[in-house]
Amino acid sequence: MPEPLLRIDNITKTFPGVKALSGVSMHVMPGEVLGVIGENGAGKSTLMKILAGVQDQDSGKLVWKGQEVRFGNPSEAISAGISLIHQELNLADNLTVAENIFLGREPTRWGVIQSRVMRQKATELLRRVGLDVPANLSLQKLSIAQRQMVEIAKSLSTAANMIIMDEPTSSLSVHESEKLFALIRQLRSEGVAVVYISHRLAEVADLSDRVEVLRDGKNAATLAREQIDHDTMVRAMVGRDLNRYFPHVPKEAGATRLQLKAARLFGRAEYAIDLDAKAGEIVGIAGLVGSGRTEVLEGIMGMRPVLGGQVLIDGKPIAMGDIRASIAAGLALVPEDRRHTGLVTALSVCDNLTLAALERVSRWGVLSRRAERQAGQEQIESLRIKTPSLQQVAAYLSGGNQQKIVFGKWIMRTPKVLLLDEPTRGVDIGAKQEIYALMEKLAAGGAAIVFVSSEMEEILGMADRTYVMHEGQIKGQLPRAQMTEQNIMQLAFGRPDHSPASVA
Amino acid sequence: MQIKSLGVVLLLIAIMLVTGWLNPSFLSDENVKSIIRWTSLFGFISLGMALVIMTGGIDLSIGSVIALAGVCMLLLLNQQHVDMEQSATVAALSKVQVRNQQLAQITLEKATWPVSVDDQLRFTNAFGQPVLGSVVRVETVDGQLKLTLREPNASFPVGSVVSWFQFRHRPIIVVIPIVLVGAALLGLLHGLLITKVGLQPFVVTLCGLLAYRGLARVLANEQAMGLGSTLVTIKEWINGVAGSVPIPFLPWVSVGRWHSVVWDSQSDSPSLDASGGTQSLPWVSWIEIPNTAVLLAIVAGVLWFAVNRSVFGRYLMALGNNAQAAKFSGISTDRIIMSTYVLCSVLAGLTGILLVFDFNSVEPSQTGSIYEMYAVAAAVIGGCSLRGGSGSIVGVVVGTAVTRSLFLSIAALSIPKSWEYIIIALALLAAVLTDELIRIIGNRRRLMSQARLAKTSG
Repeated sequence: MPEPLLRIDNITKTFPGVKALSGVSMHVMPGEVLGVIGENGAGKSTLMKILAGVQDQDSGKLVWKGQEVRFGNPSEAISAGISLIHQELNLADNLTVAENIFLGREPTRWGVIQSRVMRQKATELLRRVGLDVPANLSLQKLSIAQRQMVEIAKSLSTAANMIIMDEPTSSLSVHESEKLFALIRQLRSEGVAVVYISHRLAEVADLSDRVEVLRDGKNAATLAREQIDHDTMVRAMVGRDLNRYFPHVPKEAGATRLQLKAARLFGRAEYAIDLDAKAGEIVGIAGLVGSGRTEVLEGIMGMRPVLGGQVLIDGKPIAMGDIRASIAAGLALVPEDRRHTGLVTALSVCDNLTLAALERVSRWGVLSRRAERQAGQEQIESLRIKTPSLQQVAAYLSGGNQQKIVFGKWIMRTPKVLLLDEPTRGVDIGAKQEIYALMEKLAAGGAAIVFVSSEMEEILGMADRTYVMHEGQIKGQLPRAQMTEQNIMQLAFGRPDHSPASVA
Repeated sequence: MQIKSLGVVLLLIAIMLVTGWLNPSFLSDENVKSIIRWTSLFGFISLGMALVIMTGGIDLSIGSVIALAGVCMLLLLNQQHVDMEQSATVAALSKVQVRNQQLAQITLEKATWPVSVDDQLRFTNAFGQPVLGSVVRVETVDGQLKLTLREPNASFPVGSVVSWFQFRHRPIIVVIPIVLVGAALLGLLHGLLITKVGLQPFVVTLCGLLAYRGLARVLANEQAMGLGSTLVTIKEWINGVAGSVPIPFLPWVSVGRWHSVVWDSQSDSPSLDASGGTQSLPWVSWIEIPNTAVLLAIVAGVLWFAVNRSVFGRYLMALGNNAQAAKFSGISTDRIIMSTYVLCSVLAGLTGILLVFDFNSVEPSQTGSIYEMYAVAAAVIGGCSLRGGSGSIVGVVVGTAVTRSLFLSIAALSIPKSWEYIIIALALLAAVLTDELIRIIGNRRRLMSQARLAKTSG
């Protein structure tokens, strides 16, 4: 076996409350596409950040081109030849394409930037990645896919031997993704190693020469080219059968609790959105990132204005665009971005739990500390929130426990309709299962649950029924019997739908 | 009390001790009382500012609101000096002592005279000069009118004639609420512009700073306005003393300066060894507490309760830390933010009123100038972060005391007055640096203990 380009040896990394990586090992060969997969929280991003010098491992070593290395910061990794393309691109909107590519490494003479040389070099790189735009175009005129190409050109400009791509296709169209794949294959043929991280198993299966599976911060499996197929990957990622993993038991749904009638999203006003959920029902909303799923949930909740439309709770219309009215009517939303919109991370666990239901623990505006503690303690116990104390600052809890706090905050109001936006994002496997169990319990208690998820397994495992969105439109809905990955992806990619059960 | 406030308390004690060590008179009863007095006059605006800062905002208009409130109060009072063109004959004269104050009592031959408290009597003193004495009390004794005057030097023979002036003004009991409501409306205006229109607090209140100062100058016609000798009763109340509190060990420090104190075993107290003799020192000083300090304590107490024990306070902290999450939890963040600006302006208005009584005048272009900066400094030294979401009421009051005692210690140590601002700036910088250091160390320690926890459990 030839010498690997990179060997990762027994890497361990611990964060407050979570052991992100424990003894992970793998290697990357030159000119290889290595797929790295794993559930959220499996440790992929942490591992990549260590490779790119963003974070430092607690123990274990990296051997790069035969020599042990330790990158103190990203620029050390870049000069060694490793570049990381983040999920959120790190480009400056106000600069030109060429300026972005050479940002911080501008060719200069006597301290003056040689714009012409820079443009020429940039044009060459753009040709190499197959992006047909002038080098002096302002970056803000480019689409997301084009910006990604600029990022790749930037990596190439640093003579990278290895490019790490973290969820590169999450905001790309099918056509744009195809272009990216072609480029990855071309890079491979040029001898550049590509580490490809994605949740989209089909892409991983297509591209990868080898797949490394991470689970709970450990190596779960290494799949050679001929072993790579969807089921094997899922089994390795989840580590058990999906049926056991998802506790969902379909039940008889009750009366309609939530109805959204003829709402239209800003910017996509041509489509009317109708949606409903019944008591005891768990309804999924599938679709690609950016298809308008979050906007629908936030529109129902009144967090963002929608054009027209009506929300009815138990048949009674509520005021649109008024969060307080929505909450009073029995709506609750666990947002996607819990650190910014779900939690007040500087407040204590207890203060966060009671925040939306202070009228229960106060009289005439005066808080009763005893009632607060009691209510907080109840939630901590019933949700099994792992915290040293009620007074612990929420920021120091793990993602899963933070998410449980956000759930607890709303459970304290016994909501009629619970809207969940990516409820298990960034949550470890154990907490994930507890959240699924919680969804089951709440539905069994008569709440209607609507959840948005980008994880196919979650939709397939938890939903009684799912809506599929595509570019601001509900493309169709599938009952549990017809929910397959293929049916959902077809609708999500906006292909015309001929299934008789769906209602567009 | 939070650890943060403990730091400010230690800072205050350090300033007192160091200055007291260099100049013992700094800790004299009179000077300590003066620190308390100035702290209470500046405390209200610091508290108001702290509330606004806790929301993540700022109120730069405080100083101008103080001036405008003072000018408006005096305009609304509409004082008039009216010669009643009546005179009476003095039947008897005596001196009385009321609470450390020499007062004169005269008995008039008349049984009824429409004279009332705060009116002024004019008479000619022994040197033939006209003197005014204001009336403190009116009573009828044995069918004769007895007036108590605040003019201890009143000496005129029985049978001399006094005439009578009346200072007419609108009732203060009406004027003060109007001024406070006016201030509240200004605060409401700030709040509306900030929450409903979405303007930045800095800009809104900067406009306030300019506009209200300007308005005060226009209304006062660029003239200093005075209270003259009216409303003596209220003036006296504001400068008056509510009671005394014992402060232990103060005399040992201020007079004894530790090293010269020897313990007197006979009297079981320390004593000062001065010129061979032994002079016994009391171990407590009784410090007089001004009424304004009591008022500040009440306001601070109410606010402490509101911030720490009420739904309002919890919402305030939540939105100061994460306005988005607070809003999404169903908190009407706009209303909470507006209420802090209203409270801040009302407290500034109150300070404006108190300062008129204290200084007896308003200088429209000077009064209250840069007080907003003192308030910010006090709030920050007291533990508020301009990022919002943190701060303690106790800390802010102590922070005010720190800034005030710095000013007074500069005087006590005969440092040129020109150094004032530099020293305050250094104190402020030191406070935020310490705060930041504590935060970083605390974070690191917590992360490390968490990591250890995770390692042992994982």
